[in-house]
Amino acid sequence: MAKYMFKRLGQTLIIIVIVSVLTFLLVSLMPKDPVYALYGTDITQEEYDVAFKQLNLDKPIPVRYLAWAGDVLHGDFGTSYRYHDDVLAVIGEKLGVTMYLCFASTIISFPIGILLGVITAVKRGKWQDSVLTMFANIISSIPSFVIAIVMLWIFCIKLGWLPSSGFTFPWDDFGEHIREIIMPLFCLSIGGIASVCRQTRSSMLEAIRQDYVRTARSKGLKEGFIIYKHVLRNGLVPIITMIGQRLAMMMGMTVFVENVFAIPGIGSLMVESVNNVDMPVLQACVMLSALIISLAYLFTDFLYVVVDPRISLS
Amino acid sequence: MEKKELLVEAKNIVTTFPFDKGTRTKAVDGVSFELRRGEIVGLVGESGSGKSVTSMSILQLILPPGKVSGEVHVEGIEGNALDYGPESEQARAIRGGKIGMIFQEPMTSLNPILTVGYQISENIMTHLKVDKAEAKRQAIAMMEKVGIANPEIRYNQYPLEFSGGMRQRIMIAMVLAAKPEVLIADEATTALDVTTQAQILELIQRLTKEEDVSVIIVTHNLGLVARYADRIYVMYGGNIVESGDKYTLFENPSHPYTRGLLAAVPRLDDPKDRKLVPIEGMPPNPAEMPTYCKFYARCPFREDRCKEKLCDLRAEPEKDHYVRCYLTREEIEAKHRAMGEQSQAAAAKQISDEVCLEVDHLRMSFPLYRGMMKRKIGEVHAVQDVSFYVRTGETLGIVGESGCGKSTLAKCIMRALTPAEGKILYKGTDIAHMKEHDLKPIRSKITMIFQDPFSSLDPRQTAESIVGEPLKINHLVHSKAEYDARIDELFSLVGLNPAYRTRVPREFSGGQRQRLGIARALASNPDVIICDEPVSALDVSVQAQVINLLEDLQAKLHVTYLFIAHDLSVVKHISDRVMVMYLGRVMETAKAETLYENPLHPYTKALLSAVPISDPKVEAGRERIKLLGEVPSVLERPKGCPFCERCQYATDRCRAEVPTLRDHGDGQAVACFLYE
Repeated sequence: MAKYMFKRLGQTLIIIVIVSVLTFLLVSLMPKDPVYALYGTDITQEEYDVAFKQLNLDKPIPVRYLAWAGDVLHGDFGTSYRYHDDVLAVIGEKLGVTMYLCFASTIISFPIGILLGVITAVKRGKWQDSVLTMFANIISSIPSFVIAIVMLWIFCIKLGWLPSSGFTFPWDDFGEHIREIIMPLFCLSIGGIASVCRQTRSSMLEAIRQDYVRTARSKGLKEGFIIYKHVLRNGLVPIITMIGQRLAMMMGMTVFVENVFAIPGIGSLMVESVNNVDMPVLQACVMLSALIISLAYLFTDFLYVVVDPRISLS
Repeated sequence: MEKKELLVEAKNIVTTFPFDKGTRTKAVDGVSFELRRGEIVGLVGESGSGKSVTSMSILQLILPPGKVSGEVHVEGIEGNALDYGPESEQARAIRGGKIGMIFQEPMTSLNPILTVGYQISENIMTHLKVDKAEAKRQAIAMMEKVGIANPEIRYNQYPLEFSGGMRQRIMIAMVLAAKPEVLIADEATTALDVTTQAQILELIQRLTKEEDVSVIIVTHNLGLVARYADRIYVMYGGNIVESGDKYTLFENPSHPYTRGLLAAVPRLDDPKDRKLVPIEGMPPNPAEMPTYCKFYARCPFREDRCKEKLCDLRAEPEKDHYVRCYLTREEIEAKHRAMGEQSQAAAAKQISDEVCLEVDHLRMSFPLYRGMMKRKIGEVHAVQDVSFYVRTGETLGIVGESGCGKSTLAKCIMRALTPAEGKILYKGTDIAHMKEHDLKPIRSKITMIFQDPFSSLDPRQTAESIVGEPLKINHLVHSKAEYDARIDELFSLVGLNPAYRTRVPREFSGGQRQRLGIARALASNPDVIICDEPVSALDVSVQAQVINLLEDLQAKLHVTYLFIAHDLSVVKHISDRVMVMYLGRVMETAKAETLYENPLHPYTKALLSAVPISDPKVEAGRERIKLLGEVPSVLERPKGCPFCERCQYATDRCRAEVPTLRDHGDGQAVACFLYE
C-alpha cells in the first residue's frame, strides 16, 4: 500500500514536470510580443531592447525554462504583464472561487449521479430506468455553455429570479451566494450527474451479473443488502476513476461557465490572460490547474486502493 | 431398510425463460425428486440438460424474467416454499440456512473485494443470529475444519490470495458454517485439477457425514456420481429420464440415453481396443424443444409411439428404479442385438519403427520481472529437462495438472516459443533453434488442434477459409479447382457436409467446430498433430464422436499425435504411450495399459486413484491414495524431486536431489528413487 502510493507520487511528480515544460513551450510560442504586451507599443527601440533583455527573451528557451522553473519552485510565478503585480496575488482569490465551484459541483454530482445510477440499475427495464436513462443521454449530449445560455435567458432575462453574474462566498452573504451559484453550479454538475449515472448503471449491471452476487443470493441475504454490500462496492470501483476525470473536465468547463456568468475565477482569468498575452499569469494558471488535477488523480488512486484490495495486492 | 426422513421434495418443477417474442422455452420441464437425510444424490446431465437450473429453481435463485412453478417442500418449512416468493423470510431462511450451495467457478464465486472471513461470517450472522465476534470465532473454527492453515491470519485475507482449490474450501466453509441440512454442489469441482477435485470431494464427503448434512451433487461427470453418490437422477433436455440407486443404474441402465452415455465415455479400466460408441447428433436446441421424448432425434431405438407424447416415469423391476421410456429393457436389448454388434474394435493402426519426433533435454523458462524498471528478479522454469520420442503413427499422451508445463512444451514443439536449451528433432533435423526462414517448410508438417473450439476460430472467417488458409499459405494447391477439391476432401474426412463451407463458426455446434479445427490441422498434410485438450470443452456425448474421428483419421492417414489433456481416462483411451508430467518434469512414461495396471511413480498412482471410474462396483474396490497439499506454484518448486512435498514416501534424498528418468523395462521409465 505505502509502496504503491509512493510509486504513484513519483509518477505524479514526473507528470508535473512534463506539464510545466509543455506549458512553458506553448505559452512561449504564442504569436504576440510580450514586451509590447507589457509596456504597450509606444516605446523606443532602446526601451524595447532593455525590456527584452530584462524579460530574458534573448536567452534560448531551455535557459528561460530553467530560470522560470527555479522561480516557480520558490513560489515565485513572476509578475503579471497586465496588472504589474505578483502573479500569485492576481490569481489568489480567483483560484479559490474556481476550486469552490469545482468541489461543490463534484460533491453534488457524484452522490446524485450514483443514486440515480443505482435506481436505474435496480429498476432496469422498468419506466424509472427508461426515463432517467433517456434524460441522462440527452443531457450528456448538450454542451454546458448551451445550458448556461438557455438558463440565463429563462431565469434571468424572462423571469428575473436569479442574478446573471457575480460571485459571493457563502461566508460573506449566504442568501446572495445561493442565488448566484445555482445556475453555474447546475451547468457544471448536470453533465457530471448524467455521466456518473450512466456509468454507475452500467457498472452496477456488470457487477450484478457476477457469480459472487449469485453466491450472496444463495446465502439468503436480503436483496437490498446484496445491492449495497456486494454489488455497489464492486460497481463503484470504475466510478471512482471518474472523480479525477470529472475534476479535470470541470477545470476546463469553468472556462466557459465563468465567462458566461461573469464569475471572477481562474477560467475567466485564463481567457483574459490569453487575450492580453499575460504569459506569467497564463503559465501559473495552467500549472496550478495541472497540479490540482494531478492531485485529484492521486487521490482517486488512493481511494481505489481503499475500495479494491486487488490493486495493492497484485 | 426403512426410509429416512424427507428433507427436500421437489414436485413437477417447471422453469421457463422468455425466448423470442412471446414464447417461453422450458429449461426444466416437470422435474420431481426427493432427498432424504444422510443421502448423497447425484443429478447428472450434459450442458443444457437443466440440472443446474433445477437446483437453482429449488433455492429460488432464478431471476426474472425466468419463472419457476411447481412445488418445493423443505423440512421445517410449512407448505410449498415456492409460494412464499424469492424475497420472503422463508425463502431466505432456506437459502443458505437450510440449503447451502457451492458453485462451479471458485475464481469468480467469491466477492473479490471482501475478505473471505467476512464472507463466511456474513452467512453465520444471517442464519444463526449471533454477534460479530461469535461469528468470527465459528468462521475460524470452520476454516480450520476445511483444512486451511493459519485460519486467524487467513480470515482477513481476500479471495485472490487463495488458490482455486483453497477458494473452494472457503466456499465449503462458508456454506457449512451456517449449519445447513442440505448441501448442493453444482459442478463444484469441475474447474479444479484432478487431484484437487478428489481432495475437495473427499472433504465434502467427510464433513457432510460429520455434520449430518445431505448432499446433492450436480455434475456432468458419471465417474463422480459413481464414486460419491448413493442415488442418481439422470437428466436430459429438462426431464429426468432415469433415476435409481447407483448400483442399479450403472448395472442395468434402462433409458437409451443413460445406456448411450455409459457407452460413450472412456473409462480408465477399459480394454485397449474398446471403441467408444458416440451418441449421434446433438443435445436438443432450447428453441426447438420437442413436446415428446427429448432424446427421440438421437435415440437408436426410437419408435413411432415415442413421438406421440412424453412418456411418464415408470417403475423398473429393481427397487426405486424409474425410467422415462416406452420401451422395456428387454425390447431395447432385443433391438440392440438386431442392430448388430456396434462396438467393434478400434480401427487397426500401424505404428512404424521410425521415430517421427524426438525431444531431447528440453528446457524452457520465462523471466520474471518486477518493479517500475521491470528488473529481472528470477525465472520460472516451465519445462525442465524433458526428453521423449514419438514414432510415426503413434499417439503419445501427455498428462499433468495445471502448471505441469504441458502447454509450454506444445508451444516449444510448435516453435511458437524458442526453447532455452535442448533439441527438438523432427525426422532427425533439430528445429529447436532453427531460423524462421528454414522453419517454414516444417511448420506445415507439425500442426495443432486447440482446446476451445469457440475462441480458437475467427468468428468472421467462413468454414472454407478456416480450413483453406493453410493450403494457400503453404502453396499446396495451384488452381481454384484443386483448392475446391481439397476443401471438399477435408470436409468429408472430418465428417462435415462440404455444403457448409460458406458458414461461419457460430452456425456450427461445439462438436462441429472442433471438426473444423481438425480439418484445419489436417489441411497441410502434417506428420505430427499436437492435440491440446481437444475434447475437454465438449459435452461427453459429443466427446466420443471427436475421439473416434481422431482415431479413424490416424488409422487412415498414418499421422502422429501428441495428445495433451488433463483427463486421464481420455488420454489412456486414445494413447499408445503416456507421459506423466509434474511441475515441468517427466515423472513417468509407459505404455497406456501398463500405466494403468502397474503405475510406478507415487504421483502417477495418486493421479490414477483421483480419477473416478463410472462404475460403482469398480469404484468400491479401489484403493484411494491421499495426497498432501496442493500442486505448488511453479515459483515455489521444491529443490529436489518436484513431488517430494506431497509424497508420502519422500526421504531426505528426495528433498535434496532430483531423480532422473530411469528405464524400468517394457518401455516404462520412471523418475523416482524408489525404483533404483
